[in-house]
Amino acid sequence: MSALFTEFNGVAFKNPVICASGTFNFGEEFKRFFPLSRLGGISLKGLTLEKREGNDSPRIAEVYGGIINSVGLQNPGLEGFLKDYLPSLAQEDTVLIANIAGNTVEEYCEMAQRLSQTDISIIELNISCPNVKKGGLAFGVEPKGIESIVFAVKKHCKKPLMVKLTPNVAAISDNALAAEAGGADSISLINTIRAMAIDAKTRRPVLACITGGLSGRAVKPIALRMVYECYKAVKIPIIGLGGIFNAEDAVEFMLAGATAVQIGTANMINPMAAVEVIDGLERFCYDNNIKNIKEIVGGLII
Amino acid sequence: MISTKATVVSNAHLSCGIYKLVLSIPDMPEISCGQFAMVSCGNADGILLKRPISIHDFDNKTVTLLYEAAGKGTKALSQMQESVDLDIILPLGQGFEIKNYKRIALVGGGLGVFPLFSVIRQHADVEYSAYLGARDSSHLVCADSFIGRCARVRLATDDGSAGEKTYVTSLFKEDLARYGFDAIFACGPKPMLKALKAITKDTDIPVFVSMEERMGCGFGACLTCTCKTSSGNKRVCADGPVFDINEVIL
Ligand SMILES: Cc1cc2nc3c(=O)[nH]c(=O)nc-3n(C[C@H](O)[C@H](O)[C@H](O)COP(=O)(O)OP(=O)(O)OC[C@H]3O[C@@H](n4cnc5c(N)ncnc54)[C@H](O)[C@@H]3O)c2cc1C
Ligand SMILES: Cc1cc2nc3c(=O)[nH]c(=O)nc-3n(C[C@H](O)[C@H](O)[C@H](O)COP(=O)(O)O)c2cc1C
Repeated sequence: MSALFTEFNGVAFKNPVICASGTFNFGEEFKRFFPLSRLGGISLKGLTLEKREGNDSPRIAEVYGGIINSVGLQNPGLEGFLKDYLPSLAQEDTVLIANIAGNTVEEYCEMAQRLSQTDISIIELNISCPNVKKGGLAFGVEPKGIESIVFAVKKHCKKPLMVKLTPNVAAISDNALAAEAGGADSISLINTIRAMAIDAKTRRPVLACITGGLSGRAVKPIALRMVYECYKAVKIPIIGLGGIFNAEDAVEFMLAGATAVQIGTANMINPMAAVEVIDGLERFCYDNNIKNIKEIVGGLII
Repeated sequence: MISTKATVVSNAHLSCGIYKLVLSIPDMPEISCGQFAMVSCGNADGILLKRPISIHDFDNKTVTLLYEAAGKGTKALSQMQESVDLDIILPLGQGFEIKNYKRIALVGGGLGVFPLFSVIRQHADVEYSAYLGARDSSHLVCADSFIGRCARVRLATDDGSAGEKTYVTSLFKEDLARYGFDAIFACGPKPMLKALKAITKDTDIPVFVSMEERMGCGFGACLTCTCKTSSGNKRVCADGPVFDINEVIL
């Protein structure tokens, strides 16, 4: 069996490398660069019940070692996704994760219910998007809010439920515990960190929305610390992300306690990034005589 | 579309901080005029993203890009020496389509002049009228290469140091009724495109404009470079950069 074979929530992954929501769209654009079957999984572009046009441009600013985005969940809506994207995606030999965001608890439940009847393997509850007014963050900041929305959605969800946590909170481990208490099967973290960029020459904000979410290399130390704190707090699997650009970054997240990792911003800079992480992890196992990558999960030496 | 390493053949300063970068590309993909490339500027000073730069000229081994050393990334790019390898993704986006047009007007302002040259290089058998504008004569770095390849070239500068002291759209307006254009291709700052839209609104000549927006990936995945169109938001990098002027909301 492959050294990278990974299993959690009853789902088998070829490797623990998943492309992160919003940086990989629905995968189509990457097929020119590599077969999607190389990937452990894909967390698809964030879906809402109704189609969304997203925010005004500019929606991206580059800052030191990172980017700030304010896309605002532009997506074809659940119906559009099921009709125009899922049929061809379902042919791909990789784990499909639907990332969902709602305006209300009812919308989250409705989406989870509909997606439970499809080829989607896991549902990722996005209660952590900083770029929309309603929904998103509104449910994801306070432990009480998290527990109740997870509990509500879980009743309508026949697939494993992964809850994506925001780093814009007081105590991440309390939020992880709340997700676990609500019935989450796994948690993924981190989503982007609220941030802004100013152009000193024009004296204006770079983004049309003024603020957005920071991601990329710059956030890695924060994400690592949060994964570590959550690992100490909960028993459910943790999927770590935030600034992973190469296999060494991925190993660090796994040592901190991540069962699998997601690659976000790196896909935008190098379309081969996820494949390079997979190849690098393969080599890492070989070089270190590791039979299966899960041996290093939580293996941080203190 | 390929993601590859290109080698710097030359990277020369032309004038006013504008550089001409010639890159040799292994396994050259098929390119059409008006497309662009995402070019890595290295990772010094915390730079992550590649920069979008239009393809100015190309043959079966090289592409030529003209760019202004404007900010952090393009300034770093201007320091790249001969034989350095750069990551590049190309060709990207939907360029200009020649269809069966026989007489085309090219309207370019500022940096927008650069990609228009790829049109006349790829399709030499069309009659072109070029209307090119810039701040002053030293910013009109590639106007000479249009002369001789176009039936007429008219230049406009803000200070009159080359051609006429007027807007490029004013020159174009004078000629619009005169030469029976089958299509108009334009690239330049938004105010120029808006003026062009006003000038052409009563004609039925198709007008295609190349749009600019801040980009993330450049190949359609991240949805950061959208522009507004009559049919909702579209990605400048993948659905554009060239759009029908009646489709985009300027
Ligand atoms: C499709 C397309 C084609 C282009 N073709 C050319 C060309 O042929 N020649 C040329 O000189 N310039 C061209 N530009 C503009 C060029 O991309 C920017 O000048 C360049 O990205 C600025 O980067 P910087 O490192 O100098 O500035 P920085 O301020 O360091 O850039 C920070 C971020 O903002 C983005 N950005 C800043 N200014 C612009 C801008 N005007 N347009 C888009 N993104 C911007 C950068 O890409 C980067 O992500 C083109 C832009 C687009 C979208
Ligand atoms: C352009 C862009 C769009 C994003 N869209 C989503 C989204 O739709 N849903 C979501 O849960 N996260 C979204 N994210 C957050 C990423 O999935 C990820 O959590 C974050 O960027 C941190 O990881 P990274 O540093 O590897 O990018 C987006 C990030 C970026 C950069």
